[in-house]
Amino acid sequence: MKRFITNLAIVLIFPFVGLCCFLLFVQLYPGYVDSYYGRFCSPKQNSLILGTSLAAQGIEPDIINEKLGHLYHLPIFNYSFSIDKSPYGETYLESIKKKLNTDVTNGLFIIDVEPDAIATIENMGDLHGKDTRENQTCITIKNVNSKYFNINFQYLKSSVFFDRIVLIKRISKNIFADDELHSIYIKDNGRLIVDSNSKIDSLQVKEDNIQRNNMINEWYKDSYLSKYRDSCLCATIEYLKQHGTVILISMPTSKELVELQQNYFPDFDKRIQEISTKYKVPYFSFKNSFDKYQTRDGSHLYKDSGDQFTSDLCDSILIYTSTLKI
Amino acid sequence: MLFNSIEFLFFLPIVFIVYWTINKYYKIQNLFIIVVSYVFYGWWDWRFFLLIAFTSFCSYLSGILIENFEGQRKKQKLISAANIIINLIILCIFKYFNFFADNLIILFEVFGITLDFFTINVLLPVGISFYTFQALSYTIDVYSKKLKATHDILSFFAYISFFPQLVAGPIERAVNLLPQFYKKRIFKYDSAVDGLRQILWGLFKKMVVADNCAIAVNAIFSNYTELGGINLIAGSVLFAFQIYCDFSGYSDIAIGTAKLFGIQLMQNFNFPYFSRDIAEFWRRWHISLSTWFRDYVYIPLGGSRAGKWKGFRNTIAIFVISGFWHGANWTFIIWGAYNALLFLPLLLLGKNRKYTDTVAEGKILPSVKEIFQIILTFVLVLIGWIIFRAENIGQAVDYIYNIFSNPLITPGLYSYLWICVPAILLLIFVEWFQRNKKHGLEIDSVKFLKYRFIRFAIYYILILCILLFMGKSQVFIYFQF
Repeated sequence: MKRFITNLAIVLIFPFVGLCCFLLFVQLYPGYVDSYYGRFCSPKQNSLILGTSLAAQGIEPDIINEKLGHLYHLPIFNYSFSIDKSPYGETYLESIKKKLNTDVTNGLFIIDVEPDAIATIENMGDLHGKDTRENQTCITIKNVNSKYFNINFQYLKSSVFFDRIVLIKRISKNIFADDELHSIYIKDNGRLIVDSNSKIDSLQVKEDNIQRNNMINEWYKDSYLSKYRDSCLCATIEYLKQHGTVILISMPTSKELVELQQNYFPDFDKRIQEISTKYKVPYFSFKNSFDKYQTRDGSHLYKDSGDQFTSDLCDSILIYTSTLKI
Repeated sequence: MLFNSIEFLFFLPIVFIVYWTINKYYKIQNLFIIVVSYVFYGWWDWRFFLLIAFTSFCSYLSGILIENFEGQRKKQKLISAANIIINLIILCIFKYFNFFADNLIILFEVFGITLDFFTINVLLPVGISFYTFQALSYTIDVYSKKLKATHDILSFFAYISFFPQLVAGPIERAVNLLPQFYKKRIFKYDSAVDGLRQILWGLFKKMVVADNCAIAVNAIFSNYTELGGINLIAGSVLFAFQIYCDFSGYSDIAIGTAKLFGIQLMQNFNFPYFSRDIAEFWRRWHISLSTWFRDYVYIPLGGSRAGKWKGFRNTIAIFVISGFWHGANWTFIIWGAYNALLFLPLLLLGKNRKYTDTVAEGKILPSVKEIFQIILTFVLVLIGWIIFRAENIGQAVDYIYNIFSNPLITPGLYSYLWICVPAILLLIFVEWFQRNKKHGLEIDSVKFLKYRFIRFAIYYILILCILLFMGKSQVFIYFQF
């Protein structure tokens, strides 16, 4: 027995020490390992911006706080992620419920609705369009308001295998070192800033846009609007209406992407109009404003364009609000 | 408590240390086994303590009563039958009541009669199919005089509730397991080390292969109408490995854990996917269950000695009953019947015991003929697994039909292949070269592994694989049975 325990200790000592070092490192690492992490490191919020990466990068909460602070219970927090992390679904809704300060009754909820957010892109969903993204995302993380303690373990645990490997690599490398073209960081208000160093009309950007649109075209070919995600979007609206004002928006993007979306999802806008009417929430579509705002990759607005868009959105909300009072 | 949980990681060493500390007094050890086994079981749901205690007590009492009525065969038969019926009633209530109720309603509706039947909303107690059969085997063995009735209640309760095999087998026989609780256990270093290796291999199979396959299988079976033939075939292959690795992985962990406590459990899987025909497959798959049905159903019915046609009847009966044992769904019954249909031709031709040795024994690779036989057997088994996995017969038929009618290749994310395929290949590689051993990591006799640093490297690689590649934790499939 002594020999057994001794040999077992010898076998286990290295993995044990390695595991302890790893756990200590994870515990002490200051976080911000990817472009989603920062959103889980703030307390519960009164108002939220929801959607995919278009909203995450394109809407500036500080501008909304400044222009609409007198009307709603702000500040507002950008709780948008990406197509694969936050399509509308039960998982995202559960996360929203955890993030929201449920005492609020006059909050502002800006919900960006894109075809990508209610479509099943991969052909791995069930018959109703509930796909594997539901359980394989950092959104499943239990604690989303961890201002005061470390969520690194939860974050690693909730990530799928590939994300886990990437996370470990990034933890080692520190992702937010500037590369040649971009620097990426999350602001305290949740907005993801992607500062592109390249000029708007540069050849590199044009080529990136073409490549991205080709990729999106391939995705869209196999996509269909998901009944499951549609119903979850409605459930999200219904839930948030209890806590304040819900505004549906469609972000501006490039002309090419708009055309792709209209081609593959011709009924999308009509469907959103139906939802808007049914739940009596306003819907502002900025899809045709592609001349006014610039995208850095055919989808996501440049930082300055995002600021401009946010200001214009606030103006639209102010006009809508004054119309209601009349 | 799952074997692959943090709780078990703490539970096992504590139990191990206390167990061997009180080794001098085996009766106290048995009591300790009962207590920790009930804690282990109660971790699932404490409400079912009474059930397992009742089953244990009934069977214990039946053994004593049978012994008391020595020479009075009729009374002994009555007691034995009573215990069997009581236990089967309990099993049926929890497992099959709603199935029978629903099917009765459907049957009467065919004749235009609407039945107002209630269905009961009860949880299925974890492991009920396993420990019930284990208890029954004791009563039947005592009645058949294969075993003397025990008066040692602690040993008997320890036999029924022994935690490594309590919830998902192997279904132990009293003649094998019960006597091990009558005497002091002796710690054997080699056995304990082998046990740890078997646990490690079981964890690899469960956490890396089975859990990763499960994610893909669930997605494919949920969306089978829209996926291409290749995806559907991949789904069925992945399920074959999911169910094998899930169940055999659990068995390996159970057997390995028992070895740590000086208890030897029976082998439950013997590399079944290397079988050359369906008869060999059933001699290698879930051995504890198939031998249980052979000894307690097939042989009492007459077996193959009752004549050709009765032999067929008996064969179909045990396969169907075995299917039904798995769950209250027509898919399991049809799966059992399907396997019976595959088995019967071999029985008819007298070739059901043709392959009793290890495939390609003494050789590195199988012959072309053997490869063909293995693949053919695997394909036949695969069709059965589609039926087994489907939610209903309609889905099973649809699934198989769609393999041939859907386009062969459809776009879809094939990312599951990145983990599942290498993991399965590693599994096949290891198990092929270990096919004449009890488990994949029985490496004492492997010459080049005599060096400690090589063995340690293997352990570390497996541990790292488990930590890095473990899939999202899934419940062991056989817990639902």
